[in-house]
Amino acid sequence: MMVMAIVMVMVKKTNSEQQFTRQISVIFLRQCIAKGIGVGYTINMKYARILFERKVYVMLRTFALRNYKNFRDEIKIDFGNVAGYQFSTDCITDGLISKMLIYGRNATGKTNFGKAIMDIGSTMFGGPGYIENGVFLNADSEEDSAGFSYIFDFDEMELIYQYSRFSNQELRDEELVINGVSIFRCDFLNKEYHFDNLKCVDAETANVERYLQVLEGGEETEGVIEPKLPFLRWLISNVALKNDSILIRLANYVRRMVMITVGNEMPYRVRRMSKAFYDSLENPERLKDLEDFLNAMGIECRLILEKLPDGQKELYFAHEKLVPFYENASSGTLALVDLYRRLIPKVWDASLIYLDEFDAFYHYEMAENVIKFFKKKYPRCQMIMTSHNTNLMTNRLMRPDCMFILSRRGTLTALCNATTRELREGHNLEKMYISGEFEKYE
Amino acid sequence: MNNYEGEARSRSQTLLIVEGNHEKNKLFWLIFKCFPEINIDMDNVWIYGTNIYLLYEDIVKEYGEDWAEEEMDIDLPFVISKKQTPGDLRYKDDFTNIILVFDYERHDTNFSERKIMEMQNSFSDATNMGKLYINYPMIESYQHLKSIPDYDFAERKIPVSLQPGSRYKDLVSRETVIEKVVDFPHRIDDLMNEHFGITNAEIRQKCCEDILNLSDAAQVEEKLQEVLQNAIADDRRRTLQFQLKDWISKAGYANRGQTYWQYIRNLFVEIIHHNICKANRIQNNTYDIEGENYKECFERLDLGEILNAQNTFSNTSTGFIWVLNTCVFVVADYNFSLIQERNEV
Repeated sequence: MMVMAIVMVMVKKTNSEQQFTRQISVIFLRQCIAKGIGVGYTINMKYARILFERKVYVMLRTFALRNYKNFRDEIKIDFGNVAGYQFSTDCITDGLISKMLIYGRNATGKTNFGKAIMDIGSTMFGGPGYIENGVFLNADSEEDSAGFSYIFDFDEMELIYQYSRFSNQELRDEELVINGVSIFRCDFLNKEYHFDNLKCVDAETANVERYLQVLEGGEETEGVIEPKLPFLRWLISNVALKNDSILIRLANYVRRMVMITVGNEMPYRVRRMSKAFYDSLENPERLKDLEDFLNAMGIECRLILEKLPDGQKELYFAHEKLVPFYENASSGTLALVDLYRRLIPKVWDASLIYLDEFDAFYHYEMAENVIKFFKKKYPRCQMIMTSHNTNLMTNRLMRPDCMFILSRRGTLTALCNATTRELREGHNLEKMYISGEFEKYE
Repeated sequence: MNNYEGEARSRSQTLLIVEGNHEKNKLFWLIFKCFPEINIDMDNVWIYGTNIYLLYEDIVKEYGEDWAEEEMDIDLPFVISKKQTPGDLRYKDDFTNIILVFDYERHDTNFSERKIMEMQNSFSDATNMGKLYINYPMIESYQHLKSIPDYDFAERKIPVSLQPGSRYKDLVSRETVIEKVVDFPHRIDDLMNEHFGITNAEIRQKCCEDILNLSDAAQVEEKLQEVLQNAIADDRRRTLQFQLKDWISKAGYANRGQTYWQYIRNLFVEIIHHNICKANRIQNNTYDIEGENYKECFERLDLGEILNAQNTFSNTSTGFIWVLNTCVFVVADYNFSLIQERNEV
């Protein structure tokens, strides 16, 4: 109850702090509940601010993937591979690429790659990733597992979380390395476990025996039937970690990773899923905000939310007669509203967003506007966008080290590394791409 | 049988628009050979010989008199193919490089300060519409060095009255230290063909390649024997071997432990350096460039300003033209790091 009181006090602060404190309070509360204690910690604003400032510095530096779906050989994305361009510097944050565009022919694996990046979320928290049960391993390879490796930058620290899995449901091994020190290593295949350095993450109190029991099937875990419970997930939910613990901060980052596939959303599904969104639009300010957003992106319209006699809400375009929104909105408008719904009204900001074919239905100017909007609104967010729209391949908006080509062979190459030519600001990258300048890497 | 496969699109090509003289093809052949990083395959190079004023008229025909003023997006492959091969139109979207190389040749009857300036200002990006490189007074200026380094190059100019072009060519021939080295591959080919009767072009080409790749002076004799073994009968081989050994030693590449290509590459780096300094001399009145400012200096060069200066100095009968070759800048424009490493030549 004390925690609640603190939350109340902090709500008076500025907007971003407010969002943040709400967020850490939630984590904090969860922890307290998990530990079965309600008191003992107090968070003061100064402490929260330290956390807040630190939180900002967690970023994914590299992600590497092997033997997953169409990627037989290792494919790596290195956000730290920045060239010294003096233009479009808003694509770079703290020396890492924060706005990235990926091009590639059809069926080169742009969506698969996004799913792979998001895999850490289902490993750490379970979730929908475990339900899906399609082809997981590369179909041309004889290896028995797919490898995932994530390197995060935490202030001065480097955290590597890597694991390999046989399938969506089953881990093969798992390892956490911080600053070169292996914190734990679990080899589920050979049943070899090393928990030697848990104290480095202040988790020496972890009852690993209990974990091993769970692993052996001695105990049901949270109703999730999963043969190999990832140790990291168990650790985070079962050990009293401090709020500034590196693991809590990692969890905080991973929880805020989002993948959005714009092209495949069916309007009716959107409608069903978005009851909460509708409810939020009852607030005239929120409705106005949506309207402003659509107008700013190039869709001129006025919106009205009406309550039907049966209590349901319906969104309309405001004309002389009301026109139902979802039945009549264009594909582009629907896609844009969906994007809005999934990102903007949230109380938290995403840490990483994988926007697959984000501008499939957009006019080229709208696609540009959306990118500009992202840059301004989410300067720190690591955004990976895939697109077929070569109009965006321009130094006005992006830069050669932030635009990548995904090839049929499963290689990901930045434009500046896809030619021996020195790429300059004045170059017409789109024309160069079309005329085959980067042919060898397509 | 299905018929799904459409016509394959051939892209990643280079268009070289020159005045049609063999010399220019020779120069670019050499440049692309010794800077393999530029990644241009001679088979993908489409050479179109024309005169700059004829090309100008072709552009006018397609886009109208005001094309330059209206900053139109000119598609040169289209303009050229429409005229040359109307059944097989080509578009600039298939070309990664469009390079235009023309002589200044002020005394040409079609010379027009306005037209050449419009061309220079409009064609400024090889990866897009194309980039125009003008050589002053003509292409041979890249050979107009009397030694390496040549400190007098800073002030080297020729009177407007020196015409026709053949007089300038003769002058360069008398003064150059470059010509012989540049001609070397063609000279050995001629030697084998005309004097030693190796008529099979394939064999000759293979021999030439091997000879140009020799890089150890001590082994030249031995290697030559190997190379020529099957190319020519024993009795004549010895004479040819002897002659080639002498030429290689005079050309001087193997003596430095370099292949011909490495040697000529270093030579080009020097030629380009001289011309960048010279361009800076014309544009900014300073010839010498400090090492660390080299790239910045190059990027500040404005071929339009240089043309303007040349026009100003040469528009009277007593005027002069600065000797300057800009087409070698193709290398620096592609990637400046290719010419940043300077070795002693």
